[in-house]
Amino acid sequence: MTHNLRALAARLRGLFGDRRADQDLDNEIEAHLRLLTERYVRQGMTEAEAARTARRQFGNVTLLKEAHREIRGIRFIDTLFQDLQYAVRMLRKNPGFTLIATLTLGLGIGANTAIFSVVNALMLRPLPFPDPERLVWVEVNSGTNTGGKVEGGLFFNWQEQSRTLEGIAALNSSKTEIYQDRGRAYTRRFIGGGDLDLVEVGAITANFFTVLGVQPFPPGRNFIAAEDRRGSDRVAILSYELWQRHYNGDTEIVGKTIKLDAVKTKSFGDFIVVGVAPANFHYFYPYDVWVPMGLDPQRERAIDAGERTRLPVVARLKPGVTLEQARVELDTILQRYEMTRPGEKPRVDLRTRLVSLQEYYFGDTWRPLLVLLGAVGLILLIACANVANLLLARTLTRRKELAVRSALGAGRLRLTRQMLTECLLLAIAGGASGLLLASWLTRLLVRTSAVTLGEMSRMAAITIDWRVLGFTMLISLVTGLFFGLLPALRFSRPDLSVSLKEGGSGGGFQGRGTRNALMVSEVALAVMLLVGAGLLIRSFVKLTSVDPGYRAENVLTARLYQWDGEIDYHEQTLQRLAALPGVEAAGATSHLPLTGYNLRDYVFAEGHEPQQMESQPIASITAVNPDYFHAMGISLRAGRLLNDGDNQGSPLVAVLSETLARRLFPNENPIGKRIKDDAARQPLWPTVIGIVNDVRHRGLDHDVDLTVYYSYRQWPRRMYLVLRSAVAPSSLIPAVRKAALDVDPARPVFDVMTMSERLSNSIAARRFYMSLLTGFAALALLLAGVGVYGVISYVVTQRTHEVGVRMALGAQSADVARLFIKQGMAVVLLGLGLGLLGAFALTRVMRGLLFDVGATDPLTFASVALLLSLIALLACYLPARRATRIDPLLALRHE
Amino acid sequence: MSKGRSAEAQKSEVLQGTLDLMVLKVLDALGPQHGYGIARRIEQVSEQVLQLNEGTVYTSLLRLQQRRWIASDWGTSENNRKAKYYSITKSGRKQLARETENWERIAGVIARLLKLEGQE
Repeated sequence: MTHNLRALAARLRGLFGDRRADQDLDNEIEAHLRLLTERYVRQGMTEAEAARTARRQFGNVTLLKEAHREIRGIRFIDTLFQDLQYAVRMLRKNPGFTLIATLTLGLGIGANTAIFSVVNALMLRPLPFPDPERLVWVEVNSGTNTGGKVEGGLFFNWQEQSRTLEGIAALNSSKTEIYQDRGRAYTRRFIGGGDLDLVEVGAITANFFTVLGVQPFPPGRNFIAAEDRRGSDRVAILSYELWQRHYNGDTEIVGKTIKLDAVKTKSFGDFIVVGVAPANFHYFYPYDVWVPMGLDPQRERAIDAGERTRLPVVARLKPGVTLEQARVELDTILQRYEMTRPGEKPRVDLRTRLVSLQEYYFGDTWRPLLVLLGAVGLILLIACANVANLLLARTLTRRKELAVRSALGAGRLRLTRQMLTECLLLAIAGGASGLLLASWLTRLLVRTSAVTLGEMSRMAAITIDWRVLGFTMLISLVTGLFFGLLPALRFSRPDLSVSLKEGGSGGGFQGRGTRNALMVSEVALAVMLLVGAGLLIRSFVKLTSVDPGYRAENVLTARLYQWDGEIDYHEQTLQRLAALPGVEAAGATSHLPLTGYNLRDYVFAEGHEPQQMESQPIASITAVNPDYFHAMGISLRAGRLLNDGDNQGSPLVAVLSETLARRLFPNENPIGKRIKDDAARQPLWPTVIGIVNDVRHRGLDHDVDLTVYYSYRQWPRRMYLVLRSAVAPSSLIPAVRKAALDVDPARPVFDVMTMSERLSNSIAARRFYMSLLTGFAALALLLAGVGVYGVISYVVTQRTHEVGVRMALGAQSADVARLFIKQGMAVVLLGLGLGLLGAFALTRVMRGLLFDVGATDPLTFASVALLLSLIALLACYLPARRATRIDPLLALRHE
Repeated sequence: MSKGRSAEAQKSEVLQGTLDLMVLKVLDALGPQHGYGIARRIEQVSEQVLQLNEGTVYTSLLRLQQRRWIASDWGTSENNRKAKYYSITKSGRKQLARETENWERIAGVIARLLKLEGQE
C-alpha cells in the first residue's frame, strides 16, 4: 500500500517536470560514460575512439532520457494534453454534432440531477437534529395495521422503565387540559404584541424538544417537568415565524406574556414565553405555539379505555442500541402493561412498531420518487444511445483518419484513449448544461412540491448541494464512458488496408448491427416511459371526470371561529352572510369535504339487529343547516330536506345519503324509519326524513362516503361556512371577512378557500406526477424520434451511391422511399415490441399511483404503440424523401 | 537495438524483464553499487554472451526504485567523484527470492520442453 503511494508520489513529482531528477540522470550518464572511456583508454584506445566506443556501448542517450521521463510520468500528462487539445479541435470542427450531443446529454443529465436533488433532500440528507439516526417514531398497532397511537399510561410506563431509550416524548394528545378536542392541531386565537391572530397550537410533553435535541433561543429554554402538570404556571414556546410576525424578532421575548384561547373556559389565558423554536421547525405539524400537555401519569393509568389519551410518540435511542433491541424491550413493557391493567382483558394483538424518524417522514414519498427516478434514468439511457449512435456514425466517417493515425504508429490504446477523451469532454459539457437545466427544474419542483410532497418538503429545502453536484459529475462521467466506449472499442482497431482503400465514403453496412441495437433500445425505452405517462394521464382524466356528488364551482368556504353549541352566534353570522350581495345560499356544515375532518362511526337501523359488526355500515356523521344542500349542490332523491322547523324542540330527524339508505334499509322505504349512530345521537333514535345523493367526502379517488346529516340545531357543532355565489366566489372574500368581524370583532373567519381550489388541491399531487412524467415521456419521444431520424439520415447518406444505381436502372422514387422506411420501421417495430413487453413488466410499480386504470391497460398500450409508430414513421420518412430527390447522375459520381 | 543485432549477431539480446532480475541479484550479491559498477558486473558474468545497452541499466534502476525494491544514496566513487549508489531493500530481497524461484521454474520447464522436442 505505502509503496504504491510512494510510486504515485514519484509519478506526480514527474508530472510537474522534476528538474532535479533530470539533472541527476545527466550526471549519472556523464559519469558512466567517463568511466567507460577511461577504461578503453587504459586498454590502449585513443581518447576519441574510446569515447565513441563508450557511447555505442551505452546506447541512445536521448531515448534513455525520454524513457525515464515517461516512467516518471511526464509523458502521461503530455498525452493527456494532446488528447484534450485534439478533442477540443474535433468538437469545434463539428459544431452541429457537438451542439446536439451536448443538448441531448444536458437534457438527460439535467432531468436526473433535478430528481436526484429531491431524493437527496428527502431521503439522503439527515434530519437537522443531533444524531438524527437515533430518533425513532413509536407506534402501537393491532395486527398488521400501522399508524396507531400510544395510550398515555403505556407512554409513562415506557418513560419510567425503558433502558434502551435515552428519552421518549409525546405531542398533541387528543385530550389535554387546555385543548380539549379531537383531531390533530387546533386553531386558537392568540394575542401577542398587541395583535389578535389565529394560531395552530401543539401540546407536548416537557422533554419533547430535549429528546429531539433542539434548544430554544434567544437565550430561551425548554419546558421543565414541573411545568408539565395541571395547575402549574402556563408557559409557551413560539415558532420562529410567529415570533418574527408579532415581535419582529425581539430578543427580549423570553418572559413576556401572550394570551391563548382555552376551549373549556371559552376565554383567554395568560402564557409566559420561555423560548423560540428554530426557523423552519415544521416537524410533526407547522405549529405556531407549543405548550406543555399537562398529562397526569396516575390518572392515565387508572381511567377507562374510552377516556385514555392516545399520543403520537417520538423517542431517542441510547447510543449503540438497535431499533430491534428497543422494539423488543418496549414490546415487553407493553405486554406487561396489558396484563396489569385493572378490570380489562389484556389485548394480545398489540405490537410495538419503531421506525426511524427519517423513514416516518419520507418513507411514503419513496414510491412516486422511484417512478420519477426510473423515468429520468430511462431518459438518460435514451440520451446515451442517441449520442452513441451519433458518435458511431461520425466514427465511421472518420475511419480514414483513424487508419492514417494507426498507420503512423498510434497504438490501439492510444486511439481508444483519444476517442474516450472526446466523449468525456462531451459528457462534461453535457453535465454542465444539465446542471443549468437542473437548477431551473429544481426551482420549479420546489414551487410545486409543497402541495405534492407534503408539508415536509418545505423544511427539507430542496437545493443543489455538494451531494447533488457529485451525483451530476458521476453520472456525466459514467455517461461519457458508457456512450463512448462502444464506438471507441469498435473502431480503435481499424482494418488499415480496407479503410484506406475505401476512401472517405466509409463503407456500407459496417456498424449496422450496433446502430440497430441502439435504435431498438432507444425506441423500447421511450415506449416504456410513454406507457407510464399514458397510464397516469388516463388515471387523471378518469379522476377528474369522477362526480364528487356536489357542485364545487361558485362555492366559497371558510371556517367560523366558534365553540360547540353556539347556535345563536352561528345563526346571526349566517343571516348576515346570506344577506351579502352575490350570495345565493349560506350553508354550513360540521365536516366539509376535502378538509380531512371527518367523524365516522357505526350506524344502525331500528328493527334490523346487527348480524356481524363487520358488515354494519360506518358513516360520516355530519351536522348541517337547511341551506347546506342547496349551497353545496347536493340534491334530494326522496322525502324532504331539513328545514327551519327542525330545531331543539322538535323531533330528531336525519337525512341519509343514497347508498347508506340502501345499506340500512334494503328493499324498504327508509322515510319515516328510525336510525341510531354510535357517535352523535346515542342512545336516541332520529327519524329518517329524506334521501340525498352520495358525496365523495375524502376525495375523488375515494369511494363515496355513507353519510348521515343531522340538523345543526339538534346537534350543534363548530361549523364550516359554505356560500354559493352568483358571482366569482373569490370576489366575496373581503365582504365575508368583514361580515364575520361585524358580528364579533374578536372572531375572524379562517381557512378561507373556494371549493374549486380545495378540489384542485386534492388532486394536485396526481396532476404534478402526471405532468412531470408526461414531460419526461415527451422528452423521451423527442429523443427517440431524433435518434431514428439521425440513423436513417445516415443510412441514406451512406447509400447515396446505391440509390443512384437503382434509380438509374429504373427504380421509382416511391420504391426508394419504401426501401428506407421499411428498413427503419422494421427496427422501430422490434423496439416497440420489446418496449411494450418491458412496460408490461415495469408498470406494476406504478399501481399505487393509478386510478381506475389497470397497470396493463390495453387502450394505453395501444395508443402508445400508435403514437410511437407515427413519430417513427415521420422520422423515417423525412430522410427517405431526401433519398428520392437524389439525382442519379450526381449520386453515381458521389465519392 | 536493431543496429546491435546486425553488428554482433552472435550475442543474445537481454530478455525483457530479466534485466531487473539481474540488477537486483548484482546488488544483492555485491552490496551498494553505482550504475557503472552494475554494468561492469553484468558484463563480467555474461562473458560477452549478452549484448547490453548499458543505458538501459538506468531505466531498470528507476523502475526498481519506484517499486521500492532498491534505494539510492549519493556517495563517493573510486576516483573520488560524487556518484549515486544503489542498494537492495528488504522488499527487494523478497522480490528477488520470488523472481529467482520463478525464473528457475520457467527455465526448468523450458529446458524439459526443449529436451522433449529433441527426442521426437
